[in-house]
Order: sequence, then structure tokens, then C-alpha cells
Amino acid sequence: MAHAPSSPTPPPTVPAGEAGPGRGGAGPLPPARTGRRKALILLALAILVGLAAAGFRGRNWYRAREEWAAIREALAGRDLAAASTHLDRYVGLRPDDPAGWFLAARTARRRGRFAEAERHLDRCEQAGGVTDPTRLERDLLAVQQGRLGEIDGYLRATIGPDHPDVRLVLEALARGYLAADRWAEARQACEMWRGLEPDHPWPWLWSGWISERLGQVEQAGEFYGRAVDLVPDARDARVALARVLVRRRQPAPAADHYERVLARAPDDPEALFGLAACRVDEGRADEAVPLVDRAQARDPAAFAGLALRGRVAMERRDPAGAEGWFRRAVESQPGDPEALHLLVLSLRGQGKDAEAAQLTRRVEDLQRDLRRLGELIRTINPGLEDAAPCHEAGVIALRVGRAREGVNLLHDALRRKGDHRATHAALAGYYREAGPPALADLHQRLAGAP
Amino acid sequence: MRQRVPWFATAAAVAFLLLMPGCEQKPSPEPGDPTEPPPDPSGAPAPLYEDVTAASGVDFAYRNGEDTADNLSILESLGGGAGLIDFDRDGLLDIFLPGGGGFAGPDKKQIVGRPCKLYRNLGGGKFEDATATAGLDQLAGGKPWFYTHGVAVADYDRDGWPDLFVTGWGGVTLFRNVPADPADPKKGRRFEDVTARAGLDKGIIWATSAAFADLDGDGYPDLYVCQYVDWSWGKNPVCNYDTKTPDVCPPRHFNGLPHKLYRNTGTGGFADVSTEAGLLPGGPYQSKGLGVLLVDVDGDGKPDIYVCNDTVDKFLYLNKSRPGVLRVEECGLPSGTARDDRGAPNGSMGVDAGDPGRTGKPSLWVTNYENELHALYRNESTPGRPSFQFHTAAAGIAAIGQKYVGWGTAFLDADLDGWEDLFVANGHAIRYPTGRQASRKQHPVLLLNQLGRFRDASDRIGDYAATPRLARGVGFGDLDNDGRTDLVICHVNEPAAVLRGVGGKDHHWLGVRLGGKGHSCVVGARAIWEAGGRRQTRFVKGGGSYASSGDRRLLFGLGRETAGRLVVRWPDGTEQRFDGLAVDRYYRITQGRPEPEAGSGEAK
Repeated sequence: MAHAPSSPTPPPTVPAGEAGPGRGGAGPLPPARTGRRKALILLALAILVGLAAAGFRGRNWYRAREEWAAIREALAGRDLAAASTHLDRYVGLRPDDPAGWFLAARTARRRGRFAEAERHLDRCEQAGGVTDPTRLERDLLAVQQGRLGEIDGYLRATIGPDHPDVRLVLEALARGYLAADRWAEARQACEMWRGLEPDHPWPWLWSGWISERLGQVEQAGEFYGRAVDLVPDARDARVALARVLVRRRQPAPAADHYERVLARAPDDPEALFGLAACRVDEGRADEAVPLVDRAQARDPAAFAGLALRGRVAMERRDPAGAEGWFRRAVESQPGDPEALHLLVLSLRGQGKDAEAAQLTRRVEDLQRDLRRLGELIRTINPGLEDAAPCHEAGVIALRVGRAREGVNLLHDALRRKGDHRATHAALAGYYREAGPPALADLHQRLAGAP
Repeated sequence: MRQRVPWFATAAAVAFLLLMPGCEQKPSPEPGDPTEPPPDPSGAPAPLYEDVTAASGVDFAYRNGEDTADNLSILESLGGGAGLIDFDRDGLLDIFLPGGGGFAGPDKKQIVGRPCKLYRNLGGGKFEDATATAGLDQLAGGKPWFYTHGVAVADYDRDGWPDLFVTGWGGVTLFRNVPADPADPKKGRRFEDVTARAGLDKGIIWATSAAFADLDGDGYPDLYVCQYVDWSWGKNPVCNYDTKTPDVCPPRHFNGLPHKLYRNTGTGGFADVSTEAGLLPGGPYQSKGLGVLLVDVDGDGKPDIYVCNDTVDKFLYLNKSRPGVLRVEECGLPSGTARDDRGAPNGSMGVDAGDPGRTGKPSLWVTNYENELHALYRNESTPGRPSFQFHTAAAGIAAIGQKYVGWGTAFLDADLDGWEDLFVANGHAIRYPTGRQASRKQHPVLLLNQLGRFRDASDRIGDYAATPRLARGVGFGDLDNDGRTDLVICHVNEPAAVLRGVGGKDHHWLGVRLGGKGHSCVVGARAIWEAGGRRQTRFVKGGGSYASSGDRRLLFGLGRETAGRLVVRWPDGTEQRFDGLAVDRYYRITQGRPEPEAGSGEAK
């Protein structure tokens, strides 16, 4: 459980008699009246200094209390950025308060700022020692980064529904499973969290991500819609909902969502690209161009921008112009079958049938891989019985350019069967290309191959 | 002296430039030809269709069997179509409706058929049940009907009388149109089940849509039959879409069945040439056919085959046949017609071809599953090199969104303004759709074409559209010969609807029926109406819509035009031109005959 903030301590008083008379002056003794006056002056000064110090401490005490209240309010409103700002101020005012560092560490972790969280947790333990809550926080820090090891199992076994931090544990578990591409477990964590806290938008948003990744686009839209209902200004949920609507071929409502996001953040690149895609789908390709211009001003090589420019050129019946944009898009994301398909269409539109046919085969291979990957991911369950599906999925993910996911899936295979040779061989191959060589050697040895 | 340009001329020129789509083959605008009818006194645009079902006498519902058992089989999801056939050649299209089927036996696993229905068109919007008199109440030898889906119509034996082909689970049936009494032609016509005699009584597992066209150029219509998936009670998994409610399984759970291509032998029979002709086999990611259209896509005069498959690539078979030898070459992917703009295969059901952009080439149109765009493939083919571009977004069709599951469809000029519009019948394929706005019964969609760009005009369908339906196939045809395309819409488990086209009241039209020499099949021909430098092209097609067969006459909406030239390009490449045709009527044009005959029916 989080540390409760300690009450700000009252300002220390100045020790009495510290500046008392008779402390060894070298001159002649003053007359008694003069001595009394001096003592009175000194006493008054001491009182003034004491009052000033007390005032200063008191002001800090009030500022810290205000910051603490602001932190509480920001956390209740799920505004982690604002909470972080107030926490920075609070620990500046109360650097010895372990509760402030603890909350700062937790908030930084929840924001995904793991190094910062680690530092804050160190300061917390320096100030208040290692406690059960800090041990739990260290576990959550590891879990949320996808370093699940045995920790997730331990947490699931020990943190029951009545534990005061169960929601934070489920949040960290969900994030960790998402980071490790363990979709079934991420879904379970989100479902449990939703059950405990149905008015919290995040488990709905993340459930949407999971459904989207598993190819359940309609269900993803339902989850995102719920998150938007709960917090209408939630940018991520609204953008995700719009994205799903575009995928579900409903450009008009998607455009409304993107426009709402852009009303608050006019340069949001994802919303700009999304709105541009809606305009192309609506047959208003010309209106897409200035939106893409705005978004690409920040990131001229963004995949979405390149693909959209190609689509606009195609709508203008300029396949030659489109070809260049699609080639750059494919270079940027070679594992995206849609961009590759659009390149094929642009080639075909120019009569470049031979290259179009060659690339069509690549599209088909890629789609076959992605279809199989989707099937495997949907069937992989949290149980430890079989490493083969994870291995196959990992190999496919690496082949289609999804390195992080591929490595995650291969490690999931090893979690199920540590001596799965084919998986070690696949990881050896991967690390040989991407480094570090020591890992390549290690997996090569474990694969048992020369 | 500098002349002043009138303000309205400037405005017209600006409007011209703004509205003209930027295409290579620019469609010609229609100055002074309103695309919007005058509003009715209530301020709403006038409806383009009138629901005349109640008065028509057509009262028949396709049944999918869910009223007989709760099997939730994929068999129940396909529904049926509608066939328009002037079987008695009185010049009025009659209506054939497949009956579907149900489940019987102690475990409700016996698949049984329901009789189909034939309604004879009496004129004046009235129809009478002619099923029994036409011999369609049972099959050869008194066998009961099988579980039916679709219908195709063609004069397969070239005797001048349209014949009937019915598809379904476990088989197909070919009915030959014969005199009720050979000794007395006045006794009318009836149908004779000649399936076995024609060699069509084996090899079919689950037939959906079918279409006829003369593919090898011998004059006799050959036959393409779509097959769906290898479902059976032994392969009938339970599926759900919300993690708990059992429902019909999607097609990805089944292997696609190979389709069938039959060569018409010209002697009353059909030979299965599927393999040697080059049809692709079935499989987990192939086939699963639902819709088929035969039309010449590359302009060589030979009808090609375009097939809508469910969740897997569509087929475009380019016709490479020669007389007596059927050969086709699949080119869906290289031609750009197999998938959508994202490179994804779709759940494709309904299909048609038309020329909505007035390019002179048939664009292909496909209705798809929810959350997939319906596909408009713009034709950029040259002879021998089929090539299409996905044109849905640019045509404005993507803008309306795609929340429905589309089935029967066709290009039709609902307001007779000379620009082909689109109608789509909708209804969900599964029993319990999930999602906030999902519903099993859905509204139809009408897209009006304004100079090559479509806008949603579903609110102009009329009263019929106010109620959501579980619609499937649609038979499109002019039932009352008034130049407006009427609709016969097949629903699942509720009576079919008959909608009368009433649009374009102040517009003119021209209808033509093209016939080959000796009743040869002319699918692959096209007719072009030229007037004021503008051209409209219509294509003679086989199949189309979904599991349905429509009017094979070609209709041109003329707006306010009353004069022009009709050019007919026959499949053999010959061309005939006709000037001075009066408008607002039908003509029969037979290849080689210099003069067209007035009249709506088949030449006798």
C-alpha cells in the first residue's frame, strides 16, 4: 500500500539561552542597564529570527499541503502528468518525506518513465527504508516493463481482490502483458480490472488495443467507445475509436472524432493523418493534402503520410506520381501489405505488369504470414502446455519485420519449454543479425547446433 | 468591340468545371438536364419507388428453415433470389421465386426443400400463381423440391423460349420451357425438368448463383455455377461472435467448393468442362462462390466471368475459348478485381457491371459484408489485358460508410437522367449480430449518380425502405414496360416485395432487346446511345445481382433527349447503327436485321 503522507512537522524553535549573556567578551564589563538593554535586543532579534524561520517553515508546510492535495486531485482525475508536476514540487519542498518519493516513483512508473521511477524509489528507500510497499512497487516496475519472469505469477497468487492496491497491480500486469505481447493474459488482467473499476477508462482502452491486435475490430470499437463515453476528452481513446471506424469503413463518424481531437491539439499528427485518410475515403482527396502537409511538417518520412500522398495521387489518376510515394512507404514499413498492394496498383496503372506480378506474390506471402500469425496469436493461451505455437508465431513475426513482437513470442515459447531448440535457434539467428553477439552465441549453444 | 459574357454563361462554365470529374475519358455533362426532380409539396424529394406488393398478388416468402429447427447452420444464411422470366412471351416479365427449405426428421437434420413459386404477370400490376399450371410444383418423377437458393434464365436450347435453372443445396434443376400442349399453342407453356437428360444431375454439392453466356462462340449459352463451402452436419461447428451466444459460423470455418463450368453441347446437354477449361479448385482460401456475372470486360466481344467469393479472392476468368473449346484464364489479382483497395479479400455477394462514369467500358460493382467497402472497379482494360482500379472512394461511395451486409444489387437509372444509379438490398448473414448499431434486418440503399459521382439517396426509395428487412437477392426488370426498372426483392422468412419504379417522370427513355441470329446468345454485346456528343453504354450480361436473374433488355434513361443514334456492337465484332428511333418505347433488334421492331417481348 502507498505510504500515507506524514503530517508536516512544526517548525523547530530556537534553543533558549543560545545567545545568552556572559559568554566571554574581552572588553570591560558594561554597566548593568546597558547589559539588560543588550540582552533585550538580542532576545528580540532571536524572537524575530525564530518567527521568520517559523514563518518560512510554516509557508513550506502550507505549500506542501497544497501540493499534496493537488497530487491527490490529479491522481483522482487520472491526470498523471499533472500529478507528476505537483509531485516534483512536493518532493522539492519535503525531500525527506518517503511518501512523496514513493508516490513520485509510482506515478513515474505509471507514466512509463521507468528510469525516473527507479530513481524516485531509491530516494524513497533512502528516506524510509525498504518496506513491503516499496518491494511491491519494484515488482510492478519490473512487470510493467514486460520483465515478467516469475513476478506476474507471484502477484496473481498473492494479490487478492481485497488488496488495497489490486487495481494498480492489475494495471501494471495488463501493461506488462501488453509489452510482452501476451495478449490472452493482458485480456484477463483488463477484464478483472474492468470488473473492479468499471468507470475507469484505461482498461476499456487497453481491452480495445488487445481486441484490435487480435483482429476483433468490431469489439475493439465497442471498448474504445466505452472509454470515450467515460472520458470524452480522452485523446488516446478517441483517436483509437476513430482509427477503428476508418478500418470499418465509416469515414464520416471517424472524421468527427479526429476533428474533436484536433480542436484541442491542432497539430496532433495521428489525428491529422487520420482525418486525411477519412477525406480520401470520402472522395475528397484534395482536402487531405493540407492535412498531410501539416502532419508531415514535423515528420516528413512518416509512413502514414507517404502512403496517404500515394493514395491522393491515385485518386487523381496519377499512378506514376503515386508509385514514388508508395515505394518510400514500403521502404519505411516493408511488412505492411496494404502499402505493398497500393504500390502494385500504381504499377499496374502504368502498365508495369511484370513488377506488379512479382510484388503481388510478395503481397500474398506477406498476407499468408500475417493471416497465420493472427490465427496463432488468437489460439495462444496463458497455459504452459505448448511452445510450438509461440515459436511459429515468433518466427513469422520476425519474418514480417515485427522484431519486438517476434522476440517476445520466442521468449514466451521458452517460458513454456526452456529447452525448445527450434526457438533457441530462431533467437540465435535474430541476435546474430541484430546483436548482441553474446546472446546469439548463447542461444546457438542452447539450440545444440554447431 | 468587346462582347459582354452573360453572367449565367459564366456560372454555367464554372459549374461545369467544378462538377466535371477529372478523368481521362471525361463523362459528358448534361446541361439543362436536372438530376434532381422537383420537390413534392411537403418539401421532400419525390420517392423513386412505390411498394406495390400488396396489390400485386405476389405473396410468397423464402424460408431458410430456422422456423423448423434451431440448427444455426451456415445453410440458413444464404437466402434466395428472384428470377424474372417472360416464360409465356406475352411481353410481360413473370416472377420466379425459389422457396428455400427447412429441416425435418427426429433430429431435425434432414434437409428438405420447399416448393418454388411462379407468378404470371397479368399486366396492370397484377400477378397470379402459375406454379402448378407451369409444372413447377414438383421435379421430374414427382420428386419434391430440394433446398433452393438461386435462379438463372436463358434460352439454352435456342428454341426462342426462355428456360429456367434453379440452384440449391445438393443439386440444381434445369427446366425446359415447352408447350403445355404441343398440339395447341393456345394452352400456354409449362416447364419440364430436364436436369438428368442435360447431364446436370451430378457433381453439385451446394450451388448458389449461376449464369449463362455463350463463352465459346457457338451460339449456345454455356453455364457457370458457383458453389459455396463444404458444409455438412459432420462439419457444423458452433460459433459465437460475443463469446457466448451460439450463431451461424462464418465461411472461414469451411473449405471452398470448386465451381462448375458446363459447355452447352448444342444437343440439349451440358458437359462439365470445369477442369480442362481452367477453373481453379476449391480449398480453405479459395472459391466459396456467391455471385457471378458474365460480361465482356476487355472489349474483345467474348463474355468473361467475374465471380464473387465469400471472404476470399474474387475470380476474373478471362475468356480464351474458341468454338467448341472452353478455356478461361484466371486474372483476378493481376487485373485488380480480386481484392479491395487495402489488398484484402472481401465477403462478396452481389455483383453487376455498368458504365456509371460513361467511359464506354463496363466497371464492375460488388456488394460486400459490413465494415468492408462495396467495390466499384473502374475499367481500364484493353483487349486481352484486363485492368481495373478501385474507384469506390473517388466515386463518393465510401463516404456513406458500410454498416450493412449487401446482397442483391444492380446498376439502374432510377431517375432516367442518363446516369446509372445503384441499388443494394441488405440483411445480416448471422442470426445475432453484435455491436452497438448491429441489427439483423437492415435498410436498403440507393445511390444516385450525379455526373459519375454517387450520393446516398436511400430516403428516396419510398415507404418500403422505412422498415428494415432481411433481404437477399433482387430481380431487376421492367415489369410494366414503362421504361423504369422495377424490383422484386427476396427476403428471408418474410414475403418478397415488389417495388415499382416511378422516378424520372419528366424524362424520356429507350429500351432495346438484343437478339442473336437463330436465337443465339448475345451476352457480350453492347449498345451505345449517342446524342449531343454524349454516349451511354449498356452491356448484355448473364447472371448478376445475387442468386437472381433480371431483365435482359437494355434501358437508357434519356433525360430530356428525344433523338439520338443507337449503335449495337455484337459479340462477333459487327456493328449496327439505328437512327431516328422514337423514344419512350422498347425495340427488338436482331443481329443482321436492318430494322428494329417495336415491342417489349422476345422476337417470335
